[in-house]
Amino acid sequence: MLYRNLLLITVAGLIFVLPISLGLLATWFPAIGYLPGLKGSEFSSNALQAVFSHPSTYSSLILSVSSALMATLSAFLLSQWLCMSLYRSRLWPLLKHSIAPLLAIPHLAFSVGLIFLIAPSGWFMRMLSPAITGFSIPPDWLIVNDNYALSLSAGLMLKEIPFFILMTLSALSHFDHRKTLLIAASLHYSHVEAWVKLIFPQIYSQLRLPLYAVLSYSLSVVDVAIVLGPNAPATFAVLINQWFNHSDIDYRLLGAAGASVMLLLVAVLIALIYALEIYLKNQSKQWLLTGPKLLVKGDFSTFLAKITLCVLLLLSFFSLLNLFVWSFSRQWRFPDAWPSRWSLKYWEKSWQQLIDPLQNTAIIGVSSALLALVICILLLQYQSSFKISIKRSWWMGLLYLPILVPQISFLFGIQVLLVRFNLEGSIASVIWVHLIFVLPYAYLTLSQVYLQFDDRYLQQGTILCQSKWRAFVLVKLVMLFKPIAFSFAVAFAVSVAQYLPSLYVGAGRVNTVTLESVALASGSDTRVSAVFALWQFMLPLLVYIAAIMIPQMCFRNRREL
Amino acid sequence: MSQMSKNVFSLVKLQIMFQEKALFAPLSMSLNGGELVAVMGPSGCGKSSLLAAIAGTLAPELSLHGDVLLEGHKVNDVPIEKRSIGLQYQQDLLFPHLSVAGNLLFGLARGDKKARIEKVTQALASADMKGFENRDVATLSGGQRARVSLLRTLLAKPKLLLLDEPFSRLDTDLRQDFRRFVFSQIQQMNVPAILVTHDQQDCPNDEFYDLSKASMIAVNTEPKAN
Repeated sequence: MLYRNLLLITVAGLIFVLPISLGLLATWFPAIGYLPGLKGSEFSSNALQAVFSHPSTYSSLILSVSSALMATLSAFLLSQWLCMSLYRSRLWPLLKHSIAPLLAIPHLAFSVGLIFLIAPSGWFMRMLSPAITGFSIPPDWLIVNDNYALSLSAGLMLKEIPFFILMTLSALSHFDHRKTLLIAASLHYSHVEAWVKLIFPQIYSQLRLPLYAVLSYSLSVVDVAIVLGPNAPATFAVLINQWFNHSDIDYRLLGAAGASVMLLLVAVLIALIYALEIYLKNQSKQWLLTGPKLLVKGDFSTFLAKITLCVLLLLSFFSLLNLFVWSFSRQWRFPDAWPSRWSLKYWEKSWQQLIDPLQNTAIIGVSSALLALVICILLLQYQSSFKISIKRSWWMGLLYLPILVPQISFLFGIQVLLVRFNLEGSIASVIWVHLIFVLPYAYLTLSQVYLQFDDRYLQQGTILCQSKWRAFVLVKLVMLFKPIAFSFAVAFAVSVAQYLPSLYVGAGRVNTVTLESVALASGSDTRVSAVFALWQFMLPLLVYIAAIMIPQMCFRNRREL
Repeated sequence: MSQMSKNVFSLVKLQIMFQEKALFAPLSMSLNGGELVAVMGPSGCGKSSLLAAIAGTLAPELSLHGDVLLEGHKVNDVPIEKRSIGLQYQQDLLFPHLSVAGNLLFGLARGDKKARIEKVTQALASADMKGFENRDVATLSGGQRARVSLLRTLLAKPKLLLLDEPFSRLDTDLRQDFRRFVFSQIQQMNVPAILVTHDQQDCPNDEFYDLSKASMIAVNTEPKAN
């Protein structure tokens, strides 16, 4: 039994962890001066010193840390508060059903939409002007790309709330929360107190890794930070990215050193959050058991939560709607609430420009998602047929690693290795590097349903088909078609949204929709940016819709599937 | 509390309506402290809804007619957290993040720390579980879990105890033990209780209230199916 566990862990480690470890190593060596071929091979701390003597470094670091902490913690707290307050309200079903569409919006498309909404010349201002604000030209306010990275924090926060809510709902499904709350109420606890003392401590262990992942992502994100974040100086991740892409090749070493600092920063912040968690846990031990208090009624909180949910939904809806309006507009002067002339020109124009990136994105997305599914199904089948149970925290930690380690801290290393073996810039390499990030999502979305599958169906099938393989395909895979299709869609969406992996491994030869969108987002023509952001949104959306519709059509007369 | 009402708990012409149809005939009953009545009936006759109505957790699509009285006061509109009604399900629902003592302290009202701990020690002793205070609830046997769960409910000093098939998950031997434990605790705490069950052996005094027939019925007097 033990060797099977070891085998599974080794294989998963090879697939999930090895590429990252190699990438990290190949980043650390240049960081300490060792980059054969490009630079000398002498170890030195010059690059690290250069990072800290660079004039932008400190302010960039402060911006990164403050925006990441603000976005992560506020998104986490808001999501918990929303779940707690809306649990008993009539909006609970709305909350549950609005999560999937909100998550389906890519970070980048959402950010671009948000800019067009809240910028001084954005839609909100246009709706209020000139009647309320009196502006006939856009005011000279720095709302987007503000120097304190507030719009970046807000954008990230808005985008991570649905993710945390999804994780909370999934954690809630693991125990009888309804009866737990009833018991607590019968023991004289108000809903709020019962939630804080009973529900939250039980779900937190499953929210911990998502929390760390969001923190790491917010600290190291590049594409969203280019679009929403400050420019002078930019956040630290953007700064590292600038170093890596600097025309002067010496800056590669600086980038590598910066990337290593970034990894350290993520590790330190995660450790701090963990320490805070332990501290709060110890502090609350007594308080948990002091008995019911019955002060908090929570009606006002529910009311506020309802408004917050509506604002969140409306902001997302208007961001997207605004992209559509812009993409079809021809002329839209400032204080007008709507474009004065409409046209299909920019969609047509974008089409020529898009064929190549669209094709690449589709090929990369489909291939990496399919590969990820095959690998995950093999792993899961091995897990379920030998009934392997590995300590949950270890196993999850392993699978989460590609999401926890910031992309920018090891992609340069992977680039270096690929250049070494002349593999850079091919579509196969890009598919492979996407696979690293797609795999955890494919596994996480599929594992629960897959492992819960009653293998007696498979037994019956094997007896009837007289072939293990035919039974596996005709019974198990077909019965699990719906979750597999959904997992494919999630994997595809994750691949489409990748920015840095395509940038570093594609070497400018493999263009994708996301690369184009980032390049155009800061461009001069709003309409073109809108069209590209919409493509980035629609591609995964189409796959999501297909993933939901196709199984439904196949099984339209099968209520149990 | 009114001097007139001898009974601690009563239902007055209680009915539950679903789309203007009553689930069962009007139900009136009164219980004194320490009294236990068993309610039986085929599934779907409204047993769970009856308990939900008394506890104050009735689903919004169901409506309640008649009165629920606790210590002479009508509590129809009192929210569950202020009703002082204990709930016991077939699952023990022990909170896995708290120790045995933690689970018991959780239900105890606020007050002097020492006195609260003393109460927990006494309660555990009454369940033959002396010294179990710091145990992780996950390490308890099924019978021990069931007893801790009941103690937790009773330490909150409920004015009425609702038992929703509390024995159905235990196997035969444990069931006997736990049943005796529950009945003796109800006596000791002098609390009225309603027990919903499928098993005639659970019924005290060999009788039960049949919800679908709207009358008390003696155990084993029903004609046996041949």
